Amino acid sequence: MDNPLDELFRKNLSSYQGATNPELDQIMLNKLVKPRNKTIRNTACLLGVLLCFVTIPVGHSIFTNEVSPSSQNNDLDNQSVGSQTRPSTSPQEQLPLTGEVTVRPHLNDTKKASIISGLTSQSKIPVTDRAFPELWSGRSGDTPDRLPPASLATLPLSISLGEISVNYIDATEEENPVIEHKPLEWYTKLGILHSYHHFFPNNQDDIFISQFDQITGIDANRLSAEIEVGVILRTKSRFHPMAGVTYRYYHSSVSYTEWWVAGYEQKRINTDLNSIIYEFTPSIEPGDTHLSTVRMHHFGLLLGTSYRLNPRRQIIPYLKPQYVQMRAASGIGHTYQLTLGIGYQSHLLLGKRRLMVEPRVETDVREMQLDNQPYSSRQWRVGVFIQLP
Amino acid sequence: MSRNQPNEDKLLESCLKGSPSHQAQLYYRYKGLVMGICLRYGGNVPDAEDIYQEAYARIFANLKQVREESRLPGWIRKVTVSTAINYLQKQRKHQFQVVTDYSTSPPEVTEQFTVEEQIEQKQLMQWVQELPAGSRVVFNMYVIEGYSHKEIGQRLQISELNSRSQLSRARKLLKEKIALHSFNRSDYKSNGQSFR
Repeated sequence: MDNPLDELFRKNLSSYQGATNPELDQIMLNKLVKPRNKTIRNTACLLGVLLCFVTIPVGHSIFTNEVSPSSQNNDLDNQSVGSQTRPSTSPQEQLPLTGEVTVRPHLNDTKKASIISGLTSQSKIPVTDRAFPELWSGRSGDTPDRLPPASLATLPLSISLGEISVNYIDATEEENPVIEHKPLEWYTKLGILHSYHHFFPNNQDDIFISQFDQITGIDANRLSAEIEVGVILRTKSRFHPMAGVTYRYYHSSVSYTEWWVAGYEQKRINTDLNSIIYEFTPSIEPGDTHLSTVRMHHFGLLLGTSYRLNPRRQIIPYLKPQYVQMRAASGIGHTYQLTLGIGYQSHLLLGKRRLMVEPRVETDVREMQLDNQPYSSRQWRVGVFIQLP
Repeated sequence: MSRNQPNEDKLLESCLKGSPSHQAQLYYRYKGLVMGICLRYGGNVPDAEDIYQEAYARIFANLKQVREESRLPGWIRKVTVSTAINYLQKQRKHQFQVVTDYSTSPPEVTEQFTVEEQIEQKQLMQWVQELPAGSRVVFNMYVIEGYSHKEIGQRLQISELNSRSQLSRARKLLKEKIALHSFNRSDYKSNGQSFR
């Protein structure tokens, strides 16, 4: 190929660099470059946290005298305690009954421990009612003259099974702490949440963001606080709708790499996110309703829309060798979110006041941006709320 | 935080691991080369952009086939040319057919050709794009990519004679364009005008 014409074209066109328009670049990069998928890891993490929150209140019932199913075949109860001292297993009768153990002083320590252990582990009477009265404070049927476990250990006791007697005091004679609920109640709820952000570029603009430097794992910078005021409708069914308005403050700091035609730039955006959230929580109580007792545990489903204001936002570009604070923009970044969540609401009794503690996990399933922003985010939040009626 | 300037050797490896940043850098590094090939084969910008999109999709989908960074530009060039030929075969299959009478052998280009003045790359690209599709593809494959007439015939499913004929036609048309261009420039110069 010695033809000069061929040589001319080969020399000039073999390394010819064609120009592409930015729109095509954006389309191609959106099509070709996909962010790493961390969804599975994040979901597993959140499920683990949720499981922890849910199992704690379910397994730790401090207000009810629950009856263990394994105690139905209790020989010790049948022989020594006797039918006259055995409490009824119906829930209505468990609450007012309290127990007292009297031990005769001629039993050696091993036998004494064995009997006490058998009583506490196999009997249908809860541990707190028998051997550890100091742990069982705050109940109306508490009796101050029961024998504490410390004195049991120091006495030179000897005892036979037939000599054990258990006396019960009927607590129904004393005042039962019944909380009277109004049909419509105002409440105030305080919450601390930990957010799991997933940022992704906004495809609607001409800015290509190739990479976010995101905080991973549990971090103090991901905490946010919120306060909610609302109203709860107490019905006699299992359905207790709640509706409220929430203010949430969250400081977000995002570093990302922004590509343009001839290169890339690193930027960081500091944002104070102030969210106004209108939320509706249909709480569904499983099992029987207990509106007139102190026992209330139920799941609450959260359905909310939020309006997020970003009144202060700083876009800080990276100028070698450090980030340089350039300017602060305000009044930008308005977004709407649709939020879904689930919580487990446990009501605690403080005197005659009731306190609700609710671990909750929630997510923004849909985000609608009102103005042009370089990136969007999807957020999971795990939080604990305390509600005062 | 320091700028994470990509390491040349790690670019391919990072792309294969799925790093979005490095994939974007790979795209930006070779987009000019790919688009240049697409414009040469496509003939116009819309067709070139279609080829471009298909080519990059194939490049990213088959990136695992490249084992060494040094072979990456050649591999990208090969994939892009292949994509362009496939695209043109689908779009304008009939244009590869030549109307030349094959009863006689095609004319050999033996005449001397000299270019005394510098011609801009853009102008040369425009002339190539203005060639008929069949001649353009053969010219690109033979002159720029260095395929033989036999290989071109096999790839385009045409005869070797047809390939020679297309090349000859392309050269003739390009010579005419260059001659006209030179004439116009000399005419401008003689009239005391400059290209500034």
